[in-house]
Amino acid sequence: MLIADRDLRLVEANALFWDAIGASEAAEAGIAIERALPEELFEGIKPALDQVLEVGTRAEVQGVRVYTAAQPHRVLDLRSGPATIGGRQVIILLADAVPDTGRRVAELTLLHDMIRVLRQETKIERVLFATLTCATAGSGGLGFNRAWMLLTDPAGEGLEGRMALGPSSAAEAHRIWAEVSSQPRTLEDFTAAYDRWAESDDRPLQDVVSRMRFSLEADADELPALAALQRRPIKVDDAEHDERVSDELHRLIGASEFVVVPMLVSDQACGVIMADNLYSGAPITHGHIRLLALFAQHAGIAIENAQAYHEIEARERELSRAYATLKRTHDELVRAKQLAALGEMSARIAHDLRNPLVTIGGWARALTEEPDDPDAVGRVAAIIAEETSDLEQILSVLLEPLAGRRPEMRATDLGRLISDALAAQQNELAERKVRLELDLAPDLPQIRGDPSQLRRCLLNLVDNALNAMPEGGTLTVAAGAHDRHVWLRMADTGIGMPQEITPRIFDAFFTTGPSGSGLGLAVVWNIAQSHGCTIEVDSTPGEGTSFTILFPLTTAQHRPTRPRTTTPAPGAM
Amino acid sequence: MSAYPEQREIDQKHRPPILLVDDEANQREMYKHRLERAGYQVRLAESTEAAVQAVRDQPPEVVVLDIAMPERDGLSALHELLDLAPSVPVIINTAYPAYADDFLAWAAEAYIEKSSDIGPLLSAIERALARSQLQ
Repeated sequence: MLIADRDLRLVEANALFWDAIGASEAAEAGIAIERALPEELFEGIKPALDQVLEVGTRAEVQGVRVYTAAQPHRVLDLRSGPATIGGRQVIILLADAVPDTGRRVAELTLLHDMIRVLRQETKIERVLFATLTCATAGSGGLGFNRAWMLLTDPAGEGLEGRMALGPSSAAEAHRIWAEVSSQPRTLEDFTAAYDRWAESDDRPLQDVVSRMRFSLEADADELPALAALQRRPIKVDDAEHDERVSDELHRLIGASEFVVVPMLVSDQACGVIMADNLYSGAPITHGHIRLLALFAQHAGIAIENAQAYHEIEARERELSRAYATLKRTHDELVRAKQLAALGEMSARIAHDLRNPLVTIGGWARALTEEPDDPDAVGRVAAIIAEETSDLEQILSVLLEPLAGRRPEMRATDLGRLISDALAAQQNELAERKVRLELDLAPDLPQIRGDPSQLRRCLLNLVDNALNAMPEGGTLTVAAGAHDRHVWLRMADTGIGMPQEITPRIFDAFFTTGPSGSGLGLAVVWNIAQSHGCTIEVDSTPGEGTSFTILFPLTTAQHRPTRPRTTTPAPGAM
Repeated sequence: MSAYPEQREIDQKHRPPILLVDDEANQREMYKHRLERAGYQVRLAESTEAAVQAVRDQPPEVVVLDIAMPERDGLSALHELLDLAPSVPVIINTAYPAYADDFLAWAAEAYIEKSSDIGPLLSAIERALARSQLQ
């Protein structure tokens, strides 16, 4: 037990306390406990002491590590709280050394948790981070001061430094150990810790490790390649005089005692972990090496898994990129063909218009050259009139499908219209291997419509269906009455279309295939509009498309027709 | 004043015969009328078949050929005409500007886009005649 005043000066401490923290002699009363206690211990309990001073409640800190020259580090649980002794307000600090078996249990528990975490993790950098965290975690971890991870390169020719964890100075060691000894136990904890680490720009050790590169051939007699090739842990006691340690490695690591442990997967080293105790100077024991080796094996498997996963992910990305490129090229091709078709159509139209214009203009000029020939005037005028009516006809043929003349509405038998229109298509259907299924309700009420326009509408829909079934299929044409509508449905078993393009299919010049003018469905739309119909489209890629046209029925049409009275009403005669 | 310089000296006996091929009757007559006014003798053919026959019967000095005619494409007829009478220049006169890029059309003496202004056609005929006189 240690008693301090509120200025954190030592009042007194018993021998058990000094023994528990591993101090060789007791400090004098009155000195600041910051100086009386080992630096790492004071740093560890400082937050707890602040809480006691500021809030006045008790505080506990578990797993504070104390390094002593004489023996392996100690792990302490500390409790602190306010008290009044002889009217004087003081702080009491109790230290309990965590027994060795307890530490072992904690170590194994962390390793177990870590291995579980590693199995779930697929991002390789996080696996590396979790592995190194475990190797360096203070309380319950393997407790090395620093650890380096080197992985075998893809060609299997060398070891490349990938990640290093640990403080770059003794002061930083305390901060980091305090953080990691909060004992992350879940994947989320490690992920968060990794993200914090990855974002930090103060990682001097990381800069060192990223420069590490050792050949498995040229550097085969030296560490760390030697440990990978011999597939066994190798411990160095005196780096400076050990011929297995190159000057370069010694310069990079700086510690004279360190260990290199291979990470084995299927009896092959996929990398090595190097670890040391530069700041504490604590000896590296056989027990620690055994644990690190065991742990490295699990880490190796996790790293291999993450690498395989990463590779699969990369393949998948590559595939989806390739697919996107293919899709884009396909779309561009279709667009180009549409434009070419449009260009061809314009050229045809231009040609058809130009010919009569040349004739008209040519004769008109001839007339201006011979203004006094009375016969010529009459002859030329007749020619011009003839050519002009040709022009008008061309224009009306061109524009009719889109502009649409006003429909001439009359009572129309839709069933009859369908049967007639399809009868004319029999040969075409047979040729394109399309089976026709006709399902017309027997008592269809008559609708009001323009038969020739409705026929055009039907034929365009048939044409559209045939284009959607290049390999043949079934065309179902059904009609019936429902509520205040007569409906007509035309369904194909063709290629269908994705949902995003259905809103555009009625646009003029819109076409999904290289063939077709893109006018057929636009005409269907215009005719339906002029008849007051609504059109529903239902399409599934690979299954087919159905168009349903709803014809409105007027009230009069909807009512069942009354039998005509044969007896004249009274007074009618 | 006349519209074209060619019309200044009309000497029909010395103006060489032209064969004009076009499927449009009104246009054919218009060309005949105006080319005659320019002093040429004009024979007409309403199809490529008739044109081939006419060249076989009596080769003209120049052929003015429409392409894109209903029965047979004028371009293929062009080569038959050139085989038949290699020294007779053929001028393509068409409402289709696109054929100018067709290499089949390159064998023609000139490629004229149809217009109510026959000036370019007349110039092409003049040039063709001048060249065949040199040879």
